[in-house]
Amino acid sequence: MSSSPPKLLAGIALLYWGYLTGHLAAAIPAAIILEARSVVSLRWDFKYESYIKAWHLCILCAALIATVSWIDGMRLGRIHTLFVWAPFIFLPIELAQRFGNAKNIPLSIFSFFARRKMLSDIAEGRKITPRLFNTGYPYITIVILATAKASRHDLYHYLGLSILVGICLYGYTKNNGRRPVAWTCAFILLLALSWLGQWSMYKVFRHYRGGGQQTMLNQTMSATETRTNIGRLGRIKLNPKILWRMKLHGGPKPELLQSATYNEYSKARWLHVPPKSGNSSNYDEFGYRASSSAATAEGQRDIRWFSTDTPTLNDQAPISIIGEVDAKVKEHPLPTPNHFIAIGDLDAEASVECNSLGTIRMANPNYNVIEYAVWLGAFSNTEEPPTDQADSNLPLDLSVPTSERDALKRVCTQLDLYNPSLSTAEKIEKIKNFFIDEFTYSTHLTTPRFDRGKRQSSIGIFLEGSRTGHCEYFASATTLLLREAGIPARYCIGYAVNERTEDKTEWVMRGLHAHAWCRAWIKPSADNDHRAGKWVDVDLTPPSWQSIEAHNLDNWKQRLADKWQRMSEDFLIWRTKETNKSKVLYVLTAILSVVAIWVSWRLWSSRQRKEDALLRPYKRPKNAPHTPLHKLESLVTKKIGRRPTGTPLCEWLHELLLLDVAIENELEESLLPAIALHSAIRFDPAISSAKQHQELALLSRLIKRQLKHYPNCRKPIR
Amino acid sequence: MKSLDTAQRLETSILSIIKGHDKTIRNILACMVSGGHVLVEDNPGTGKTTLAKTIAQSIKGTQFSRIQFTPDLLPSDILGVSILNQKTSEFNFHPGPIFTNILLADEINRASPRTQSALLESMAERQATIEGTCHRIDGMFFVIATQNAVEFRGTYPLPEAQMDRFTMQCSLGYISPEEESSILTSQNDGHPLDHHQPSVSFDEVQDIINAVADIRVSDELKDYIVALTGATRGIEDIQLSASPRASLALMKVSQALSLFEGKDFVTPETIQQLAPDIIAHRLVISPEAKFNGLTGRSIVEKIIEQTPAPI
Repeated sequence: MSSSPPKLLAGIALLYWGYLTGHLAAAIPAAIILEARSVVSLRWDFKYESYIKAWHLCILCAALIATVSWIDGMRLGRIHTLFVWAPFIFLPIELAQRFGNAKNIPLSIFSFFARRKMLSDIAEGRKITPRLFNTGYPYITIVILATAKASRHDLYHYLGLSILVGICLYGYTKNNGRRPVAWTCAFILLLALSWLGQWSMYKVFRHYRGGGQQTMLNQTMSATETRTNIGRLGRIKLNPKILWRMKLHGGPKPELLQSATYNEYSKARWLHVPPKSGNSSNYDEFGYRASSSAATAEGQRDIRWFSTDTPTLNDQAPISIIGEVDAKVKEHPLPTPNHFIAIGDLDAEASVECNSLGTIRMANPNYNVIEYAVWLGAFSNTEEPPTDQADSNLPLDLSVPTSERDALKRVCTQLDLYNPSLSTAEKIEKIKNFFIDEFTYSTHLTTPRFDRGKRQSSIGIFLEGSRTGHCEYFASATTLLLREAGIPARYCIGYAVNERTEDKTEWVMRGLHAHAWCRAWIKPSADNDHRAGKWVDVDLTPPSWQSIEAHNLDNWKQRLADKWQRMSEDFLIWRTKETNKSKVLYVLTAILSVVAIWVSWRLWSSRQRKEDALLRPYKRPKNAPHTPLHKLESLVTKKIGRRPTGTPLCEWLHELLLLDVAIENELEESLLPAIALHSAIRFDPAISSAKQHQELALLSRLIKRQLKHYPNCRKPIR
Repeated sequence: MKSLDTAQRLETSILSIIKGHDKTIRNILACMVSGGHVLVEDNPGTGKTTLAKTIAQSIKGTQFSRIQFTPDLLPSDILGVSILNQKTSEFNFHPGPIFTNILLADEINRASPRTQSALLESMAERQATIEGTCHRIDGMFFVIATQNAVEFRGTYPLPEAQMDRFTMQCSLGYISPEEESSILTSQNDGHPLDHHQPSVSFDEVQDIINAVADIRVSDELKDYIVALTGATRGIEDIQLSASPRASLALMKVSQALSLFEGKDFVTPETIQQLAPDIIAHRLVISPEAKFNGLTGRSIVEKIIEQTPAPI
């Protein structure tokens, strides 16, 4: 650890890093600065504190990079990806190593506690042996590891890695003579180890990158599929984190915000099955269609809608919603109130799509935190009426899984739901009463898990056995019962809107407000309605669920977390506005320039102090005699250079005798008595100076003459 | 110039035994005649003890005692004890080794701080208070203490107050190969110290001591001395800076050294030459600065370099 790597190796490693990670523009200047060491002779005499400062600068760099990434929209959970910038984070300490006079730097600078211990050891006189190390090889290792983020399938990657490891090894073993076999073994071993290190780093990156949006009830959700907790035992943990916030600008409060709607149930999962593309050409093969968009009168706002004709919209949207999406997930279901007709204010590059069930999803947002406005209409223009599947016995919105059919049939018979004289509303009322009378709400399920061998299904157990469950049970059971009863129904997830912030400006939707319900197709009761029917929310979960799931949100930790989240989201949204981007830039530039000015001012002033200290002239007291020798000072300065401020005149004049001049002896004869006289006149308080003064004046004239034969000083004046 | 002659005789006599440390020995002698005490810190075997013994032997009629400091040494071992006389039923005071003219305190940092501080009063005030009675130390009193620079195990570093009592700290260091081989030659037939004759009398040394006070110091140089010690007070690397006692010591030893150099007055060169030995050991350096390789001596040398010298 105490030997320095060969020249150019760190620079090459940095360029390799820059090439693989695509930061070549940053890597080239850094490599040049690092390798300038072998070209320029500039070195500093760094103190212990300077190394500590360099290390603090490293930490500052890391914090700066993290902040910039955060402002740039990176999530806190993704902080490990910053390791790519490790070569830059550790650059200050490596520069201090390279441009310092010390060969090695003490290891204790990295730890506050090790530092304290060492200093107290020194203070108490204990003997210390500081552990010293050279940062050269560790730095190169960090640079190589930081390239792991880049694709490891690249051929150049292996090639570069092998070459770098080979040079490292060569440089390290250079002094031990040439031993080809040992070198090859070590090379292969090192190559395998570094490959393993990189591979594990890559795996770690991959591991953290994966995974969808964790939202309600610990499940994975996307616009096409939701895995419910049906059949899962034990208590379901609910996340009190705020996921979305809603602001109302006049108009009634929507009770529910739907994130996604599904039409197919299979083994505790709800899926979105797209209609056959032949039937409705509006949709692509995945069942989505893009939005139409236009700018409003001001020509600024970006508004999307899905109807064929342009809706008429007010400038002020009645609802705006704020929340965070994961930039790495391709499709984000956006929570929207029922019957929305247009959404706006998303960033221009994000595409918005809608499926036949009315689920809105967004792809490629520029920023994680988004705010969008929602306009409401009288009816939905995104939800298609129940579809007829050509090759199926039943329309998709009426299909029930065969495993659940028996139980559903028994319940339907019991509730008399097959009775054709009952209206849809009456059927729903019957199911509602059935649930309220016979069922209890709980997120804690103790029912023994159903046996795969038995024919009884999980919804069956819920309906006929346990009669206990959470909203997903109720919503799934409602949907399936309605379908069995001949009413088209869909399963819908989203949020219940029932918590308001203390200042009553906005509604918040936490993880524990996540909810599931059913949407049923209601045929019009009045004949004058020209449409075939409409989709309505049917939420038959006992209303007690909200009070049961209401956590103690009034603790200080939650309040602090909420406040922080709201502040950071508001800041991030403010920052994404075009007009504010330049402001952020100005503020950052201002802060950076202030720091730069401060650092350079400190450097400048410390340099000045040092020079001043050596050039301060001596202030002779007023009554102190002025001797003829004083007048010689300017002449002697030409011969032997400037007198340092700490050197007394007599000692300085002695330097004249050291000059290699032929007539040296003559000078000695006059100079030494002159110096003695000068000392006596100046520093002996008992001497009356008149006589000595005359004597010295004679001697000094003689010295002046003798000095004419002396050559002028050739070395630069100090 | 009688005192100059005596001083030179004393110096020559010592230099005939101790080889290769001309400058240091002159400084130590100057320290002695100025009424100060000296702490010699050096590696084992560099002649610290021999130096002290030589000084003692060179002065006729001087009392010399030596205390080997050990961890179990007690203050009474230094100061003396009162013992009950059975016949007269009275306590008789038996003075300890401190009642002498030249005291060699060998390996002073081996004793406990309690014992070390028994020296404090005597060094500063030339008296020892034992069981409430104050005993004066008559005549010249010169403590020459030694400590090892390399060994730290089982030692008690001298407290700052004790350090301040020492006028000067110096080290002898290794000598040139030629001088070392001349030592080998001189010790062929016994140690030269064994047949070393005193060169000056105790009274003559007293005369030198009295003459030191007559060496003149101009007010300008007094200001310079104060400027040098004062400069240690504004440095952040220093936790404890030089005291006024340091200024006083610097002036007195400069006077004495000027006498040894045959001058009637002090020059700035003399002050500059002595300042590191007299100021450096009184400074307590911060641990960070110590780690950076700064020492008291290097700081004082830097101060001399940066303080404008009187011209």
